[in-house]
Amino acid sequence: MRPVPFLLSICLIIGYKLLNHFLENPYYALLIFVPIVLLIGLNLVLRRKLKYKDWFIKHLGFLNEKVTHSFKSEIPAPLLFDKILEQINDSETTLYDFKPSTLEILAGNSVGMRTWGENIYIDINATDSENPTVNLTSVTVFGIVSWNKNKENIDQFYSSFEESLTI
Amino acid sequence: MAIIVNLDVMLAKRKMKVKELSAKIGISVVNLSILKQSKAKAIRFTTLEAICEVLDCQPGDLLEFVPDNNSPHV
Repeated sequence: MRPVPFLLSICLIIGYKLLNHFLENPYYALLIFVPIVLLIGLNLVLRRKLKYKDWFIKHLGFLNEKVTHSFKSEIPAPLLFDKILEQINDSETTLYDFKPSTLEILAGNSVGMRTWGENIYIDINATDSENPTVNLTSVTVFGIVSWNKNKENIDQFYSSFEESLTI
Repeated sequence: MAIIVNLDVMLAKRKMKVKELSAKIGISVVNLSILKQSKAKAIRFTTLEAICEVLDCQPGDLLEFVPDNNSPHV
């Protein structure tokens, strides 16, 4: 865990206080910070449902950092779906939502004092029925920079998945 | 595929369901299904031992080597 998000939050509060102090009208500072706080609040509400996947991946793309990793597996798609669900339940990552009909899973890490939180979107592309492709996308819930944490989490998820295939 | 896992054959011989085996050896149904379909990367000796004990069989009854047609001859 890195303390950077927490420190940045402190910086935001200090920034707000400074703007409030130097601007003639104190409401100008509010005009800058209220939309940011509202956006954070909205993201926290929407993050746990798969139906808002596009909001985080496409529409809000310019505000969030996104890391993608794809790999092929020899396990048939429905079994692979169950295996990934099982792996999420065994890990520290929280399972938020899943859709067996489209082979999509949403998991994530909660927002805390030391992390912005992230959503991990997993979808299994079963076009090639013998070798389905797994797409992992990690998106920050709020934050343009994840300080490489998204990539670390995705890499860790993939390596623990590979490890779990030793039975 | 060089190593075939004949777990389904042994389960049929012992008239046992995957779910029952899973409960007896403490390995999830999903993992046993992956093993049954020969899609696992590797198998632990402890897993092999537990399966052999419950199914009352030898490792050779579960694992079979089938040479690939395309594999180079040594």
